[in-house]
Amino acid sequence: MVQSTLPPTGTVALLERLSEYIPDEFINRTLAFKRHAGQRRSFVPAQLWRTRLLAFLTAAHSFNAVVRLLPEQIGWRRFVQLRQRQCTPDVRMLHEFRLHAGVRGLRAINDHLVGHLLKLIPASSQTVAIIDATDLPAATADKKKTGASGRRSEPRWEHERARRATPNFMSASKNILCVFGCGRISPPSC
Amino acid sequence: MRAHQSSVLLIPVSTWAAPAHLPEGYLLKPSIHQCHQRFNWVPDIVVGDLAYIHQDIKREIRRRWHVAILTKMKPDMNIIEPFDSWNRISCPQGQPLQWLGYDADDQQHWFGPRAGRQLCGECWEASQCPREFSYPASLHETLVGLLPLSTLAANRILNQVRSWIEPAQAYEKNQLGLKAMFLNSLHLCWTASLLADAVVLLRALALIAEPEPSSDPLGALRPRQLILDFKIQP
Repeated sequence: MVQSTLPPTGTVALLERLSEYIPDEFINRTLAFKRHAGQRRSFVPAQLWRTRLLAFLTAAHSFNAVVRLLPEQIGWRRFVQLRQRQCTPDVRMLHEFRLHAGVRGLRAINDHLVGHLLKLIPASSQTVAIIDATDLPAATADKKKTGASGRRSEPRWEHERARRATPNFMSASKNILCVFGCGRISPPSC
Repeated sequence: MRAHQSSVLLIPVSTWAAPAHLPEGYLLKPSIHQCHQRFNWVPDIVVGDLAYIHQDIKREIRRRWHVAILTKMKPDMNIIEPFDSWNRISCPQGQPLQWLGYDADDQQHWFGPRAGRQLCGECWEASQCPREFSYPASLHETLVGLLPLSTLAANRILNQVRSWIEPAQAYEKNQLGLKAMFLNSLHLCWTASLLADAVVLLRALALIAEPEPSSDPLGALRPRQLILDFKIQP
């Protein structure tokens, strides 16, 4: 593994280091909002994407917490490229951005970053990928079926079957294919 | 292969968020397909666990993209001839064989007697034996495939490389807080997974751009000889 000399995760120093590698132009071009008459967007897609990223790069670990804390954190605002303290994205804007970008849009950004990294693997080297899945707990306590469903006139076995189907929704799995190059990856030269 | 050196950098290339009841093995082929479709690139070897052992999927990936899928054998799987065990192959007379190479044109693996103590000198078939044996890659997708399990490379990859995924997953779940996120829909799970991957990718870019760390990590702690500079003027 690479010995990390980067600042620890959660620090403003790391935000500043990572900020220069975010492809703002690509994000603004790929996830551009459609223009509607009389509607003015306060933030560009790259700013909203950076705001969402803060949930992982800080100790907030929640989009709502990021929205609440953003006006108070100057380092975070610098990362999101916000000039005014009063003008920060709200929860509705982030939700709309998530729906607008979708999985395809977010994947396109990741592919753009992966493309840069794959170019650094020497052509003659062998690459080994590792595929694995991990469970993520789902917050579905409010959706858990506690009582039997269905009409009273239905036979008994219908109720039992409805209860057994519930655990399928209790967790999701994240399947990931990671790759590394066995050759020496050298930094790009100017 | 160089394990645990500064040149090894894991990056996420294909991520899926799926309900937990979906078998993981189903996502192997789509992952390779996506790599080929988006990056016009596929890895040479993919290491998986027992969840990715489906023979038909391995065969299709080998034929279509020439990617070797390495997984361990299931305990209840039958060993076939000429294998003695999952990591040992021998000739019909019992001489252990080592892998010589792969002929991509014929899709055949070639094996020969191991160097060192050989039984060949005492074998009654020695005069007629070519001392090279070929087996098709399709003989058994797990035992043979594109990279036979009996090779040193396969052994090292399975025993050493496979475990590298654990810290990568742990970083996303614990330090980036993926485990603590409020995920109440699969769409939100997708979004969170992809954003966590984006952080890992940005970190990888930052790490690569960094200057090489010093080759002498204890250099700063080592005592040094003082220089006696009396500044004597001639």
